[in-house]
Amino acid sequence: MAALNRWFFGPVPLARVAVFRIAAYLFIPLDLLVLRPLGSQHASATALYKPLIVAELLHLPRPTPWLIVAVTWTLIPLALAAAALAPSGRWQRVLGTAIFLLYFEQLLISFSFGKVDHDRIAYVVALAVLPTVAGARWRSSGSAESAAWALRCVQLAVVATYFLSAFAKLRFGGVEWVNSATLVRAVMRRGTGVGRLLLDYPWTLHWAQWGIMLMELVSPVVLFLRGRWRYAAVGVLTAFHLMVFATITIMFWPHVLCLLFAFLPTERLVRNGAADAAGSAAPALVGGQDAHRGAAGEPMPVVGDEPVHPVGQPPEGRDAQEQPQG
Amino acid sequence: MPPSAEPTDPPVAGRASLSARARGLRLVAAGICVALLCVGTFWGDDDAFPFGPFRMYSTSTPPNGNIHVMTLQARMPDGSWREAPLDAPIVGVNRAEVEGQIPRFQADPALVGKLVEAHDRLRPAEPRWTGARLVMRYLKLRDRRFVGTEEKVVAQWLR
Repeated sequence: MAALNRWFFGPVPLARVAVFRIAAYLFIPLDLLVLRPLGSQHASATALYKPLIVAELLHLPRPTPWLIVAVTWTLIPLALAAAALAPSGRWQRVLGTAIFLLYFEQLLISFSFGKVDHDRIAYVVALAVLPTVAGARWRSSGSAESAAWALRCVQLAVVATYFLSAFAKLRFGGVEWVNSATLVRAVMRRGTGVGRLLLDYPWTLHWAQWGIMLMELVSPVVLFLRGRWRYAAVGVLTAFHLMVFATITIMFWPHVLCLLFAFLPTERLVRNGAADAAGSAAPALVGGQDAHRGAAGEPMPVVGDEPVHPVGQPPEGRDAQEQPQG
Repeated sequence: MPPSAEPTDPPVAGRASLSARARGLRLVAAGICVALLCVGTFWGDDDAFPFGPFRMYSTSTPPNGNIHVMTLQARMPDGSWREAPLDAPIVGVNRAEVEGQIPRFQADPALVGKLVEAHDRLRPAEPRWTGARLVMRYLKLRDRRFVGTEEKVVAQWLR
């Protein structure tokens, strides 16, 4: 239990939550207007609505074109306001909760037309947990257990998207999935020029299936990596998504957003400002060697999320926070 | 916490702890969600979102089997049939969504008419279709290589 507590609540910089909020809320207009403008298109085909279980349990109204437009155009200004206010931490609980509820409703409508996307769980979790963190500003130099729990929840959801999908493959495709022609199917249905090149070498797609299964099964390891090992894992997963995008035009945009912002020490992006606020002369190389210290010289719980040194006491070496801690 | 109670004090370095109750509530909430996701993975389906299985590309296509691709053919005002993109900006829903509702279209071909009506609304400048049909295209594989195509009409509707 103590280990679980430490894992879930080992404090995380509040500034990381503020940065995450900005990215998460700015994503909403991008998603609704550019990446996945399905809502407005579904409004022309409401006859094909087929509600999800949760929409029926909650007695949500059958979507009309007006409801779809109202949800979309309430969400967008709220999300822009929340992103604009995120650096100051103001109104984040009220705005964040409203955004979560409206975005969830928007997804329930959108997924009730015969197709559910599987790239949203981590993002939905992020929208649900971000409002639970109080006092997160991008100039916050402190850390909080509430921030740790929120980011751990998003990390869990990111990893679940890989790990549990391995079991979905075993359930729906059987163990023969790894030796099937499923990736050939993916490329033939929606392959890009790059993807279609691989059809001449089907063994590459065959072995890629083994690679995907292996990657998904070992994905929980990412939750326990620290330092450069964690960066490497995030890099590998991001490269995987970019490769999928290049070959079959499917990109897990909100999932990748969560992968980057929940696992990386993004507070360094705004560290310059924090340093100014605290009157510190600490160098502000984003992601650089010296960027491991906090604004006022206190150690920032960077990648392992647990500070090695007591708060307020600078680390001994420049890379003190960076070493894997076993 | 109401918005007025949100902290406005200057940023401080330090560590904000949670009460034992707040920690407990958070652990229970996370535990319930993880448990529901696991249940959904093994016993649920897509309609159990947000706790359904992550089943993207989870089915197996045999190396000597068929790849199914739903296509849409539209009847033009002159009576000729032409393949039309099965895409949301054209007919309000996309191919995967239609593929997810095949039994519904088979049971009630009038739903194909809803695609035609959506096209009327979304593409008012284009010629009005006088009918449409959903055609399943089977791309045949031998040893993971494409060798030929077959087609079968799934549902048809005429104005």
